[in-house]
Amino acid sequence: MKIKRIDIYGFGKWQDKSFDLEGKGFVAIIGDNETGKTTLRAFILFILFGLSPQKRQRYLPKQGGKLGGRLVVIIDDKDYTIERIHDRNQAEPVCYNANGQLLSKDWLFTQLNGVTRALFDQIFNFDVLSLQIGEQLTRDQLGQVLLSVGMTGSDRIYQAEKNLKQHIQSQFKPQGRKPQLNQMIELLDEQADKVKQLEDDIPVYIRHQQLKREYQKQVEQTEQELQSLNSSLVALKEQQRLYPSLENYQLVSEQLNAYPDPFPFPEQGEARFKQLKDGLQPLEAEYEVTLQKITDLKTDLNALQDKMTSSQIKQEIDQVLKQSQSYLEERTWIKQHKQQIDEYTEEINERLDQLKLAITETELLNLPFGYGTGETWQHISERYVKFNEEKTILQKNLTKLKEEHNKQSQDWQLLKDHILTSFELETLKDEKDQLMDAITQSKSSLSKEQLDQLATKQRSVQYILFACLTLVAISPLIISFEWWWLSGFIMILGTTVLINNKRIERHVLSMTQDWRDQHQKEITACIERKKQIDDQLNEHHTYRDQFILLEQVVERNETDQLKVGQQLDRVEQQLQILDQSIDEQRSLFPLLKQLTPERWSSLYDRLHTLIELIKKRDQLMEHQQNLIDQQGEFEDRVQTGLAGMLDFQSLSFIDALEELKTISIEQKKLLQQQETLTERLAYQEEALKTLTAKMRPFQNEINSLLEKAAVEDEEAFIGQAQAYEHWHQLKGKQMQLAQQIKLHLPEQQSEWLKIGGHPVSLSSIEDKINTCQGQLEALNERLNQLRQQVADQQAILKQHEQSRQLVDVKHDYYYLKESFEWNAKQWLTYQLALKQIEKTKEKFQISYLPTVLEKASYYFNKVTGQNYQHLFFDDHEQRIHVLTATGVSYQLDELSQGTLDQLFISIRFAISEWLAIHATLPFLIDDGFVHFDQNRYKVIYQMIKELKGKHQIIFFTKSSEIFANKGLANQDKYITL
Amino acid sequence: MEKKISFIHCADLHLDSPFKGMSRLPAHLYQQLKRSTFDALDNLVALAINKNVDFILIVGDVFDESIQSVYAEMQFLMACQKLEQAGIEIYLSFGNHDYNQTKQRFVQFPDNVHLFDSDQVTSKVFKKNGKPLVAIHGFSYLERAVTINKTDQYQAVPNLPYQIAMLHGSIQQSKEHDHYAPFQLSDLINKPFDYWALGHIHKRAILSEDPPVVYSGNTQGRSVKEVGKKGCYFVSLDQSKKAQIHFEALHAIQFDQLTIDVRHCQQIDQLYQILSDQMKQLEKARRILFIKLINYQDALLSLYHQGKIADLIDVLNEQYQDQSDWLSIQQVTLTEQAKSIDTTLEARDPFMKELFQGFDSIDWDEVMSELWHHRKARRFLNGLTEEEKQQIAEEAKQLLRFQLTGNDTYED
Repeated sequence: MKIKRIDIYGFGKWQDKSFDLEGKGFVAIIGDNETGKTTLRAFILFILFGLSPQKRQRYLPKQGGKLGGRLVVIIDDKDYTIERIHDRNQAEPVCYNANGQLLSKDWLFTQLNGVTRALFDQIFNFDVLSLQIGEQLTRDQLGQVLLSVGMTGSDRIYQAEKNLKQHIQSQFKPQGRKPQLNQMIELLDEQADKVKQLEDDIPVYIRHQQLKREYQKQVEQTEQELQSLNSSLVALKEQQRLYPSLENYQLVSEQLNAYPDPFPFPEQGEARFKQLKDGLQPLEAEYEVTLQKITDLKTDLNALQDKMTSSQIKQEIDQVLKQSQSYLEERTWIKQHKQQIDEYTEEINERLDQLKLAITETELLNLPFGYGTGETWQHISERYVKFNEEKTILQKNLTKLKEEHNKQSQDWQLLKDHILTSFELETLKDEKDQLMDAITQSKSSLSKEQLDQLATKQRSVQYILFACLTLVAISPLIISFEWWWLSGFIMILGTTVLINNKRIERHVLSMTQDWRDQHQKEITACIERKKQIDDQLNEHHTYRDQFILLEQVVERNETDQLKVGQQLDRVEQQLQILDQSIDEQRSLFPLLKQLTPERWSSLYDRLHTLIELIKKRDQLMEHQQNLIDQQGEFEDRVQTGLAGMLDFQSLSFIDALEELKTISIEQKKLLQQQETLTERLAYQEEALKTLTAKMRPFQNEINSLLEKAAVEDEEAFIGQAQAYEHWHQLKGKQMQLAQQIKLHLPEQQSEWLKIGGHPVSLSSIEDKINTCQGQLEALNERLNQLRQQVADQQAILKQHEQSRQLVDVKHDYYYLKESFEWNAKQWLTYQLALKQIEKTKEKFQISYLPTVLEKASYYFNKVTGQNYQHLFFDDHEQRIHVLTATGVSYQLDELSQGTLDQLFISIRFAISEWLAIHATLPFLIDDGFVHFDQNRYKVIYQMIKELKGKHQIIFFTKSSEIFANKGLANQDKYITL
Repeated sequence: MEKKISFIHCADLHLDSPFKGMSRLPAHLYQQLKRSTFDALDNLVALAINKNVDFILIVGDVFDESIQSVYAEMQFLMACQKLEQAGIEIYLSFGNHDYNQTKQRFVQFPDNVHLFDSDQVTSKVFKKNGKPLVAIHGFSYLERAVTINKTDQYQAVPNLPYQIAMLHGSIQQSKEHDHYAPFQLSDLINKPFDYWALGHIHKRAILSEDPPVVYSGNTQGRSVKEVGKKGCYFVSLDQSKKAQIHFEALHAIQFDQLTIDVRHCQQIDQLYQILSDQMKQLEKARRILFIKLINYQDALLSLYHQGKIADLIDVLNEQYQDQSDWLSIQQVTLTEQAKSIDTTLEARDPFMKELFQGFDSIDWDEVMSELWHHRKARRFLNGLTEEEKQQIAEEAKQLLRFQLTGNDTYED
């Protein structure tokens, strides 16, 4: 890559500035201090590699404008443009080819062939004299020089080495204690020991498990022994406890020998006997009482039968008493009938009196009443009354109407006098019209106003005339004084006319006043007459209305009179028809003649009621008679039937009946007593039977008991019962004791229940107990110990089962081990890195130094004008030597400063050339040759020429003189700032 | 309907197994992690009871051989007792990690545990409602290794509706697991079996659908190599013979490895944001994370070696580790460098070029000897695998890049 052209839009002090480098191999940029060489160099680097935003700030154009610019470069004989602008695309490079086509983003990166700014600085952008080399250049030092010129730089490599070593040592020292890995090894040792201690977890567990099983077995055995011993002890203690029972058993057995066995006595004989006796005793007592009651009852019954009458008489009495009931009732009825008959008779007589008719009961009962007689009488009576009433009213009305008519006729006559005839009326109306006309005409003749207007008109004529005269009179004077006379004439004439006119006026006024007075009188007379006529007409109109009304009333009255007269005639006709009906009834019922028809209306009902009353009374009288006959009959029969029993002579029949009733009641009471006694007797006899039946089984049972006990009487039975009781008690006690022994000492029972003599002694039993208890205590103690051992083993096993100690320790160990391995690997990484650096450094010095030295020799040969031929390392001294053309070898400290400078420049160029083989980028070289003489410049040029074959050299220098006439080719480019 | 069965297939419980790669987990979380294999066992029991399965198949490696504890044995025994109460049968075989259980066992299993205690394949019959229904075949390891192919020993029991095989082993020619009852998949498929329950491989896999040949994987992850959900398969078989297989997670703590592209990440706060976002996106669970940052830039490398990324992880961990569903980043590694300017630098700069070329011929013995041959340390250190060596070399390169070029500013 060669730079052809530089276009700066704005960069530091540069603004809109272009430099044409023409792609020349050597371009010298010449300028004094502060002319912008460094800025230009920075610009080229900016375009190629960019700058961070912060650093770009430094180069913002001082006069404003955009920061940026472009380089036109030549690559493989083709032009390309690289442009960067500060505020566009974040100052990323924009590249075009010669045709202006935009190239990809990576294009520049590819063209730079991976060379970074740092690498570029190391290789292509250098100061020749920046190398500081000691005077004795050893292989290591030269190696360092090589490294320092490389991209990393020796410092960096040494720093890296140092860092790595430090880190490695902080991690691990073979003999150390503090480094991390050493500490971890210690910890791991400890942890591994712990694991080792615990890793026998399972065998230990199994051992304890076996131990536990053994102990458990022993426990079981001991428990069995203990159980057997316990059983023995219990048995012995039972023997001890039951020893009194054994003694009792023997005693009871001896007592039982006094009685027969079995003892002949009924089961529970005494109790049963007593029970039977207790049951029989109340029954016997009751039996006695019942027997006594029966005897008493029989005595009472006999006494009662003596008091009672025969049954025939009793029946007779009952019948009479039964019939006497109806007899007494009939007596009451007869009384009631008599009373009612009297009441009816009284009422009939009263009603007959009220009728005031000369008629007997028989006549009354024989009256020929038919169907509807009552209604007929009622009808006739009502119509009779009604028609007579109507007749009276109509007659009254007719009289009243006639009176009213007379009065109205008088009023009509009076009114008629006040009313005008039609002729009079017409005459008055005509007169009134005439008067009205006369009044109207007088009003229409010459009025005062008209006269006033006339007078005014006249006065106006006067004024006009006066004015004319005045004007005429003055005019001759105006025209010519000579005509004065004419004026005088006219004035006199005028005055005359005026005076005459005034006189006429006064005359007219006087005539008018006279005419006015006469006319007023005539009008007043007309008005008065008209007023009279109006009054007459008003009066006529008022009376005429009243007259017409009265005329109508009179006509109505006459009509009413006519109607009332007709009604009266009709009523009288109906009365005549009714009289015929009355006569008919009177001929049928002559008694009606005694009465006016008004009274007929209720007559039928009253007569009918009376007839009903007579009939009822007659019926009652008949019934009464029947009852009286029955009474007589009954009395006769009683007196005949009971003649011997009652004294009818001294007693009335009613009293005799009362007496009979008393006798009957007494007999009934006696009968009831007899029935009661008979019932009681039967009951007592039945009770006696029942008692006998109840007593029988008791007696049988008692007899049976006596028989079983083989005794005759009760006393002997009781004696036998007491003996049996004693025997029974002893027997029971013996059995109880035997059972107790059998139950608690089943093994010893046969021995212990043998009668006669003690099988064991109490003391021997107690001895055995003591021995047994001693053994038990010892066994229990052993069992507890064994159990404790089992529990201990169980606890150990449980602890093992639940213990996470091994788990934790194991995990912790592996965790630590993992950490250790990880750290070891980290250490190994550093170790490897360090070893590789060391190895590379060594190899670098061995492999590459000769190449560089060879190149440096070539330049040194040139720069010294072939005075020095070669550079080499003296392997013996491990130092660099120079060999002259004459074959003399010098150490560096034997060379002059100038020669050393040349040597260093040669080495620098050699190194750069060696490093730059992979990228043909321009060299940017600062002036480092200021103090060189002309010959040396020439040589420098030669060296540069060597370089420019491959690379473009852009040389920044202060003075143009440096290269002026120093043999640089014309095709090189000089740019002066 | 009566012939339908359901069971759980699990393996490689590795109760009480140590965990690998744990170096920066806080104490309280590490306590949980230590319990996690037991928690997974509890979860298994709960699942079996909840699903009311007929039986459970445990195909080897219930315990871990490293150092056995009574505690682990007791935990397993208690689990069996719980299942016995629930009326669930257990068919158990031991594998290469718990082969010693076959010979030496001090725990008396309850009656519901049917142990295949022979190294020859035997059969046990599962009865449902008194009727023989399933023949279950299996064997246990008596030694650490079983080199022979056991496939031929699996012979179906006639007149039973279902045949299920339990096999703790790996496919033949598998490099890592050559000595564990090697088998050919085709051999298994050709057998008249309804389900092949495999164990030994910790990554679950369904090798064949019909008949199902299934690795259930382990129940709890133990290192970055055992990432994702871990658990068992819940299997239903009916007369159609078509197995319904559902994975059920049992793990208590999940290991995860995240690979995050950080090519646009230059600064620590950007990285914080990226990691924070990634963690927020994760489903809530107790997790241990291993993060690989790929396509990292030089700036990130510098931050990494300056310890800034480690600090960042501490900050993130502090945010998450006190939650019930905690999350802990265990490690962040830079694995692939972005195509950057500095990689070309290695080719440009002779020293760097030489330096990195030197990595092609590392004398590991020399480099390691100081620590690996150290009298006290050597017993705690194993030899390194090629993979580990490669990783260490890569990290050393990163370190050198950082040390030699890191923190460089491009400008003067």
